[in-house]
Amino acid sequence: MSIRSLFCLALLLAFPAVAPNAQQATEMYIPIGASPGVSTITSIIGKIAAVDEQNRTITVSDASGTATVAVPDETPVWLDRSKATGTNQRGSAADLKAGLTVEVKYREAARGSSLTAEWIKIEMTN
Amino acid sequence: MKSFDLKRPAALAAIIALSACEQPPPPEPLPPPPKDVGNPLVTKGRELFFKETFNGNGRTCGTCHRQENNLTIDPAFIASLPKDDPLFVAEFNPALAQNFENPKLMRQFGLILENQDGFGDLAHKFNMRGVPHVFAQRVSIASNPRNRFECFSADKCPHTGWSGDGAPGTKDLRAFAVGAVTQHFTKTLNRKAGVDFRLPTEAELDALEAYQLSEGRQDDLKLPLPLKSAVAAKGQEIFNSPTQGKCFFCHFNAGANVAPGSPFGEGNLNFNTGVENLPDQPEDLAGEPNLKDDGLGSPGDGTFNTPSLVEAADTGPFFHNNSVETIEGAVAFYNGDAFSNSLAGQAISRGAGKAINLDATQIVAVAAFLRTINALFNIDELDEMLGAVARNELLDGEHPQDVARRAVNDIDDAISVLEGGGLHPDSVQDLREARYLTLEAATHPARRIRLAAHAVKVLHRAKSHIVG
Repeated sequence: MSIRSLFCLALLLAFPAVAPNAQQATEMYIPIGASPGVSTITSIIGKIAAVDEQNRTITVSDASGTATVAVPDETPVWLDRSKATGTNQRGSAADLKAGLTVEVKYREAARGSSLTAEWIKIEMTN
Repeated sequence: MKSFDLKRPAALAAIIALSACEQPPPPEPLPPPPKDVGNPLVTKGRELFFKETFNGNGRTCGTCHRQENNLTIDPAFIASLPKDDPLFVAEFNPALAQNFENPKLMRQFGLILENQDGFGDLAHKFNMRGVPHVFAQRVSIASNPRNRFECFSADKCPHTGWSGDGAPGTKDLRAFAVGAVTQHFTKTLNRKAGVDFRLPTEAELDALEAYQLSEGRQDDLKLPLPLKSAVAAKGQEIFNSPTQGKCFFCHFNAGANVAPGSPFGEGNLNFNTGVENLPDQPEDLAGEPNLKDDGLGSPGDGTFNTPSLVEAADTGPFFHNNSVETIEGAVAFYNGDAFSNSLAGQAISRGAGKAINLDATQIVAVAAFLRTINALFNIDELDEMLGAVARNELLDGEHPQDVARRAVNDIDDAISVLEGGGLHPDSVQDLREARYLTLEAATHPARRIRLAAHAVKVLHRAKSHIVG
């Protein structure tokens, strides 16, 4: 039996179905703009220009323009208190308000140019 | 009658007088300052790795990845440390007394506390894991799995840490230090960047990555090797057999990557091998809180990273939770129910028609093979280290005197690895000679270069008994 056929026979058994839920142990504790290899590369740092609760999107504006980003239920939202008292905490989509500074790590959708938020950090100032 | 010869006492007296006047030979001159021929980025990264605390609790990367102990720690080594070593910060910093480490499990089993699933519930969400060595990262991290759920992007899926997801951000080795500082360097459990520690800068991340990539093997082995020990050679054969050991499926060339053609993907992959289901794990027997580790992801999928085996024999205990102490025990694991009933074990059984089922002699043979390639790795490392000493060069910024001192540890490892398996007594004798020469080189700066060059020759002889 070839190695390949051995592996093929085994394939379905070896990997259970896993939800696409990346591990975020330390990401929550990294201040806005400091995520290694991510910040400003695959993230947008700017102010929330609009929140569309019905369609679960936010529009973020930075110096280069605006981007509308989908915020699925599973997207973690973190409250970054690096510039305030207290420690970083988990937040929720309800914390996303127009005018707040955020960092949105995005992944591009399968089609088109729309973006989906992988995580969002909100800058807390108090 | 014998006449009395006046000349003889006079000559004797003259010799004595001359001896008394004789000056000791002038001391050998010290060698000139060593040459710095290394990569400055690696040198900087090495310095950061072993000295930079990032304004935290006093730990450095080298606190757990000890240079004098194969870039890892184990209970015997831990026992040799002073009680104020930063490793034990949870024992003397009240702010870290709870939920930061478990000192008992650290001291008894070399286990470190990790909050892989986040810092939200420290008392109930943690794992106890061993410290993996960081050798051969260049050939152990790249991963291209078919299952891409945990990948950073469509083309980037590096695997770091025991479950392959040790780094935040891009999840690669460069980003790893950010997660490690946040987890292990903090002054308090608030883990506030800029207060409890500072995060590494971009330049520091570049340097740390460069240093880590420079450690250990830069290429995979190309098996089979022409091993001279019949037992180790048989072990190599079993290791690479699709019907016996089947080890090469996941540890191709005894490294950390799957065999070519694997439908699971390419490079370093995660598998659920059932280690968490082992009965009577030492850390469980200790009666300390120890949760089941769910591996990659949150919630985890039960899979763990495939470690390289070349460096295994002298970097135990084994598996992500240090549950097996000996290399023979680690090989035997694949015979047991925990592995056979695991997803990976079931896959092997169905694919090959039967589970891995090695007898004692075969287990020992595979372990002998692993011991042998570890000793060869040690000798290659020593060749590089003592070669630099003999050329009077800094090794990534490390002074030759310090390199020589550290080389003694590596020689001890090679001796221990071979002796532990009853392998190559001829090489062991050569290694003992090389140890003597290296210790002398480390102790006598004036003779350092000459002694190191001699030690390199002896090491080559030791290697020639093992392979070729």
